[in-house]
Amino acid sequence: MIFNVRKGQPAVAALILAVFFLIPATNVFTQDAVEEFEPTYGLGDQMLSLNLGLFIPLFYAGGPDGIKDANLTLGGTGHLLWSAFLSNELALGGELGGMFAYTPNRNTLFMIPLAARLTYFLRAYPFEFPLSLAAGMNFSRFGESFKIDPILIPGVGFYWNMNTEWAFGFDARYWWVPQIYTGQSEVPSSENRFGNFLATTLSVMYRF
Amino acid sequence: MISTAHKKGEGRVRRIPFPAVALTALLVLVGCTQGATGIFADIEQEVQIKKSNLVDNTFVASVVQADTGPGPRYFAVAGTKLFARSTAGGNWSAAGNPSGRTVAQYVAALPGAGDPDELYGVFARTDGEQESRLFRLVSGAWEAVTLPEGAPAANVTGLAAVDSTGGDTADTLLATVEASSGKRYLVVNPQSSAVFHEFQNADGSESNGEDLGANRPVGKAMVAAGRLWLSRNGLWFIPVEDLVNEGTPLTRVRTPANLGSFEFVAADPDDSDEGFLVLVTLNGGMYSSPKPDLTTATTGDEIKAWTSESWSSLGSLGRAFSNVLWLPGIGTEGRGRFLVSTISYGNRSSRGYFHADPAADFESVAFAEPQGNYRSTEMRLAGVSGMVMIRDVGGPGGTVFALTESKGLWATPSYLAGQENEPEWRWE
Repeated sequence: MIFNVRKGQPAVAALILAVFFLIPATNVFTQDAVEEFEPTYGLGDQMLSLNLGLFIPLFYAGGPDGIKDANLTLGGTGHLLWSAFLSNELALGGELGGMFAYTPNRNTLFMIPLAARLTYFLRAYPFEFPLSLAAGMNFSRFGESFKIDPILIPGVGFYWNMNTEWAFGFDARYWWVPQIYTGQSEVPSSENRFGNFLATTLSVMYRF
Repeated sequence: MISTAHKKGEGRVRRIPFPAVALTALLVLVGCTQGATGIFADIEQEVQIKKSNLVDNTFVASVVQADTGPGPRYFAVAGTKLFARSTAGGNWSAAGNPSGRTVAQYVAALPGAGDPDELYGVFARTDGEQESRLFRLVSGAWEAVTLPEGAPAANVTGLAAVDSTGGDTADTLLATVEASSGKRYLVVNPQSSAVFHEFQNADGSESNGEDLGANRPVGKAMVAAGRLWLSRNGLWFIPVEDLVNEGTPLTRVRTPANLGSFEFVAADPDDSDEGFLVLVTLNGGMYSSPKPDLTTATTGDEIKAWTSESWSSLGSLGRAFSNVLWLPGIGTEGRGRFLVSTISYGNRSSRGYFHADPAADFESVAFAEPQGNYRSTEMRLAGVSGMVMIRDVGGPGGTVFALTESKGLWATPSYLAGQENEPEWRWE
């Protein structure tokens, strides 16, 4: 991990100071002189993050009746992400997630996305705003039905870096799941739907 | 994939275009499907199902209506117990088994036999004997019905009640019994006269017969065109006037293979003397009996002359039909509607039940999945072994019950309340 010192950013410096005063035990840097610096990451650096939070079903599109309510309760969601930094701003990795939510008759929908994820970091140290796009496959289980669909998950986050290794934050990610039936199975193509959901999670991130 | 510079004439490293890879991946993804309906589409259309307290995930063998004193109640054999609830609503409660009999098997009522209605049940014990006996509810307690001295068999394998006039008020109790030899008999009114009938094939040869049991397909009995018709794996008949005469056997009718069940479609809904039979098969076929229509004047020899090819196909579906219920006067132009239930059989999976609406000439039917809240029910993918219509006491309406193999009992008043196209099912 590389640490670069920058100057001329009083606002950032103030925030750093505030953090240092609030959590002195976590200060791994010298306090002899307040320096303005910001960690940077590069090839070889990696990160792990664990997210847990609320799953908000939004709507289905593409059916004969147009846009319809997702007809699910608020659910739970979480995912585990591993990424490797390609540069200070860009990280590429993979994630495994999951969610559950209930229908009006208390039947449970489970979805498990497995996706590759590209993340771009906007930073104002100690805060950073990761913009991400994940794409992969989504395993859906509902009663006796099972389906593997593609999934796209654009997302945005807000993180506070406690130190160079640990960061805590919030993620809002949009799950777009095109559920396509080609008519080759028992299910007619009239049952195609585009599922739209929102996952809002609290996150803990570790970089190494 | 590594691509290197190459001289003219050397083999090229082929690049697979990315769109082709993406398309292949997409096809693999969308091709991996298990289930009969779209998951999101299914959830989108789900509505909340009203529910009572009867056991959910169990087999329901039979359901009847009877007023044994405290007012009209439904009685249902669900799992190994007999339950009852008021027809006006409320919760189900255990009706109790006879002492030492842990397994309820069948229940039947005779509202036409007296006041209060007579209620009968078949209960088995599981202490090694596996013997099934007939009991009658008397003043709230079960009393064993003893078959006559020297009766050929005492193990009861099925129970039904029919109206000997072809109406809706049952007055005759039917039980099938099995001898130690495996031969079965039909006993008419075992609680009183106990007349035994043997079974025989259409060519007059002896048959071991079959029971009216609740196993798949479930047994069914009704009176129409002057005969008692009884089905299980085969279809049998006996003239009604011979029911009380010992010595007249039930004769097997030749039908298309793998019989599921049958119904009688009366030419006049208020008169069961003339009409035709409709049967469904586990092969997914639906057939009507040979022309001309059956009447009380049709001779037994004419029926015995039928072959499996004599029946006219009304249509077919890639499902295993276990039962059929005819509801006259509803549907398109009031032509009536069949409710055809399915079970899993061979490589055919169960799929609840279907509407089968007859064409104007009654030469064919159109199958359709029910609407209403049906899609939200657990019954939709379940095996439905039987469908029963019970008329309200003293009213024009009634309730259709669906008896499932593993998803309990379902009921709807919609079919007899002018809402046959949007049935609202309730999970009992």
